Amino acid sequence: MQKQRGSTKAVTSATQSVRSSMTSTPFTRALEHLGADQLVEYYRQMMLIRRFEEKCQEMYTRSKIGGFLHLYVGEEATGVGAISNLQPQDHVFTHYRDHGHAIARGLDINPLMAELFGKDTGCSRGMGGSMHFADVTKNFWGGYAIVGSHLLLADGVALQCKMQKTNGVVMVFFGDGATNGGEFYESLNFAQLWKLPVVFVCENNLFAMGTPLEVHSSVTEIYRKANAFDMKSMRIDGNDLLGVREQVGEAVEHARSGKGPVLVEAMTYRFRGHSAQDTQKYRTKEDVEMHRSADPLEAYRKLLIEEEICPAARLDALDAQIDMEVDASVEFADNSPVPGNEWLTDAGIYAAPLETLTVDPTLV
Amino acid sequence: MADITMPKMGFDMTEGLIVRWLKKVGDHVNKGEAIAEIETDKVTIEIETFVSGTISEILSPAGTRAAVGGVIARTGEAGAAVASKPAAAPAVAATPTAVAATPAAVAATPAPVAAAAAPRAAVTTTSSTGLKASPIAKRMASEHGLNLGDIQGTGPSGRIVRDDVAAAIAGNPTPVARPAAAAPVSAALPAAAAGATVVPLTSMRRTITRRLTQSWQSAPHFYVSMDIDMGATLELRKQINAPLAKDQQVSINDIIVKACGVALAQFPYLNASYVEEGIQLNPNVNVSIAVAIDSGLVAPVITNTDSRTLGGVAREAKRLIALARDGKLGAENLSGGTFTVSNLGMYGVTTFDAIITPPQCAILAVGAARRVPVFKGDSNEVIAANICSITLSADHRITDGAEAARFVAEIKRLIENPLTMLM
Amino acid sequence: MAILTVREALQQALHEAMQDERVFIIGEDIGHYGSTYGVTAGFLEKYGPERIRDAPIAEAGILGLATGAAMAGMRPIAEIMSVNFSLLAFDIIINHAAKIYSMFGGKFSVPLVMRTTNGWTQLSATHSQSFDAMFAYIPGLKVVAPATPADMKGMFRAAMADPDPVIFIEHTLMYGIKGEVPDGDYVVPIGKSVLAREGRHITVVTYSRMVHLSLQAADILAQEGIEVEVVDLRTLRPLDMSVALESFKKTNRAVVVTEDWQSYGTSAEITTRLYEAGFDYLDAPIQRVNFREVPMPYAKNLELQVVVTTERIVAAIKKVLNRS
Repeated sequence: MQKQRGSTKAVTSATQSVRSSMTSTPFTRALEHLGADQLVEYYRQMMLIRRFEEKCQEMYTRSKIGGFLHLYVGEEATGVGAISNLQPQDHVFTHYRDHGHAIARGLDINPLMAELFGKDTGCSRGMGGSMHFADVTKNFWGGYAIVGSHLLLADGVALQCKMQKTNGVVMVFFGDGATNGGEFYESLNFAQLWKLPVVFVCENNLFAMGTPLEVHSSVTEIYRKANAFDMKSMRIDGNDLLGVREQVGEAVEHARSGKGPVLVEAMTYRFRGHSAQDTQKYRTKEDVEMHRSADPLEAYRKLLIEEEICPAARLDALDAQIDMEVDASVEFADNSPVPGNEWLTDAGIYAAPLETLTVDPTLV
Repeated sequence: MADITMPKMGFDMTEGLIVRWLKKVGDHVNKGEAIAEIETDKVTIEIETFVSGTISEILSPAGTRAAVGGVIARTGEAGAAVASKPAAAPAVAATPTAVAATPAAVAATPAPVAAAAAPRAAVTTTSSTGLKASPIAKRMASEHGLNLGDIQGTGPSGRIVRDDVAAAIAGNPTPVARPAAAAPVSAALPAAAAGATVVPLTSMRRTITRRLTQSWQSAPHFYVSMDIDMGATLELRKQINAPLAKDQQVSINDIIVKACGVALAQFPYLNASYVEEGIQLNPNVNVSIAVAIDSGLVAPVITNTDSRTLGGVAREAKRLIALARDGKLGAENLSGGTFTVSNLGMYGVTTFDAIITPPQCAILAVGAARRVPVFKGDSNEVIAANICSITLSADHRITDGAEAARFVAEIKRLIENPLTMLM
Repeated sequence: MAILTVREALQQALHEAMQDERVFIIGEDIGHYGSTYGVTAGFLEKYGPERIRDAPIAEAGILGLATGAAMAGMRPIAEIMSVNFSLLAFDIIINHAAKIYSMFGGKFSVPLVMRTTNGWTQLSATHSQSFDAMFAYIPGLKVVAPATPADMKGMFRAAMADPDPVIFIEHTLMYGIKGEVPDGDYVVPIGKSVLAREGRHITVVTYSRMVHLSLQAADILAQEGIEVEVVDLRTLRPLDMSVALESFKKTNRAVVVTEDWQSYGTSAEITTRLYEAGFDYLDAPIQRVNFREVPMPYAKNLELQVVVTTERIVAAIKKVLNRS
């Protein structure tokens, strides 16, 4: 397929052709296996991510949040759908756009907002910020801000699963932009070579920051990059929650069964800029509006109402409850203490500080 | 209970180094008594207390620095009056543009360096920057109350090192013998130096070294010489001195100093200082006179030389020279000079070039008056005359040859017509 | 006490470590090839391919997998055959292994040991470098570089017991060095320097292979009546200067010997620490002996001028002592 350099329209049409060629969402199977409540729960998770992110944007502009802020708005169906397949013993690694995955994995939003506010009650004690959410109790190993290299750490945890026979699977998220660096290829090779239980989920949102897919990658069908390693791979519609759930579910079972890793390419779109200060010169407002009109969250809401899973009034009530939860997280974060200066000592750097210190406490 | 503060010993002094304490905690001191020796960047000097009492606390031990006005010690007796300012401060204020003290130029210190063996003058000069000593050497010397200036360094470039101080502490004047060769003396010295003794530099010699090296390296010197017929001056002096007792008499040098003072009042650039911002024209004419003493050289200042009478200049010069010989010059006698006169005539020297005393602009080197045959006026008649050669060394950053020449010519005119100075 | 080589001492330490089921070794040519420097020879046969993992030539991958496994509870030993190759893994080491503990709020750590080697012998520019300073520069890493067989074994035990990432620096020219190794269990703690030789005239501060050269220099100088005290730092981060400073306060003079480039190298830090904490005891400027600052030439005549030799150490000591 010939593509005009820099044309997002050409890429967009490719997305849609993929979408139309995919199997339609197996709604009936999901309803049968999961029940109505679980389907509403996915809606709740997606809406919680959406509202949390919108509040983050607000708090960022009010200077409550510092540093970079990368929002997951528009990509909720991928994160929620993929992670819904994981068991407690499974593991999640993700990139710097990590809020959605953390919420989908079940992290309480109070410590997440507190983390963004740089507070001691943050999930990473205020040491990591937006790009470094983690919760080891949920095997959520964190957001990583160096593009691509966390895939190798995911392989490492998968090696632990395999060697200690935990029956665990590692799911690692990354963007299309992460698939060009060497660590991506090393991680695929190691995983396939040693049959590690890893599900590589590429969230292809068509841009590496602001560089269009066809400008940054010689192969624009990312899933085909797995072919070099004889690895199972698939391209899916990342905006179709139940489709994501079902197809990633197959990938998870493949990995869990010991057959090796899978590369999933989920086609999706972020509605907001790369980060809070992105002027988005690389795409048109029309493009963004077109994608927004196919908002996966709105589509899923419509489905729930039309299929009579849940009446609109109950969803509205759920939305209102989410708003209160999000407001409460801001209050929690606001009222939390800041981290102590022990983080500026060896005790903050090492799990086992030694008698000889690396940080001179007498430094002026 | 009263504070003893670091006194300001010169207009540009901001801090002082406590070289050693002459009193210790528990000692009773009387107002005016010397209590410590301090080093500024110009002098090492004893400081006196302005209160009486028993020293209860020393806050700045030897080896430490204290800012001017900072409390360096306390006396324990309550009610003792505390001088609001050290006495030296007003003296400095009186000469607001006062420039640095320290001895002046002159090549010849007739006595060899061995003069170091002579007792130290009450006012010695030393420098913290010119002295190379390792930190451990400094610390050990300080702890044992030793003056680093009295210790010979054997390290690279003459640095005083630990073993040198250790030897001094042990009372051994020569460095600890080193097992291997380790000749500390510069390789430039000929082999014959093997039998030479090296006399340690006194503090004063170090200061002379530092100050004049600085002058020689930073001030571009040029020289203007002129012969002066001393006939009229010698005649005048004879008349003036005839009725006076010997200790009241006026010297030739006094007349030359007075002439310089009068001339300087007319040539502000010769009475100037080169400073970072430009040329500082000093409002007062203060002529320093170089005085050779046993331990080296000092240059006390005759303040307001231009406005003093010749007799006033002479009396002041005598007083200062006596103080210098007795080692009793104070900082107030050594600071504020704006010009220097150096006279080696008494040694029979006919001409010589002197090195400018920073931050002054010029120094006048005066040779011996000598009888020489000269032509009388425009005639071919040869007569005897008493001629004295003077050579002005001037800082080319401040003045130029023509101005210097006019200045010297004015000195010549004044000395050859001394009565004009008595007006 | 047994007399062992550095290699044998390390082998003992590695065998001991393998008693813990969480421990595995991952690296290039550690198994089928039989180990480049012979340290893990026979391990594959004894422990099998699950725990002796011959890795692809992919250093980022080796460190990345080891870091991830360590986070999840394993006790990996990652071997980077030559420290020069570790540059390909610096992202993992610096951005991840060293940061994870504090960046995620101290909730989990990376109990990883990375073994690697310094060394040279006509290997030219890219195979003869030292990056000790680059590791030691990073807060979050612990960096050790023992010199003796006893310390190799004892410090490897300490490294394995440590919950933080430890960079364990060996030296290709040291594997054959022999020394007494205590019997039984003993641990040489990380972050403790030691006196390698007593003397009273000058202090040599050094570590790793340079300890041995410095001791040779001390022997030579002893014949001239110069008594050299040698301090073996053993750990570069955290840097324990207590022994060196105590010695320096006695001798007042020091030479710092490190087998790396001088500018911004380990000797820069060590020397600065001596100056900072020992200023009042200083009797002469501290001298440093290091690699000459060029990419390592292949030609032997040139290479031997670049590296640190006993003669250069002797000369530096004499210079500080102002001896000819």
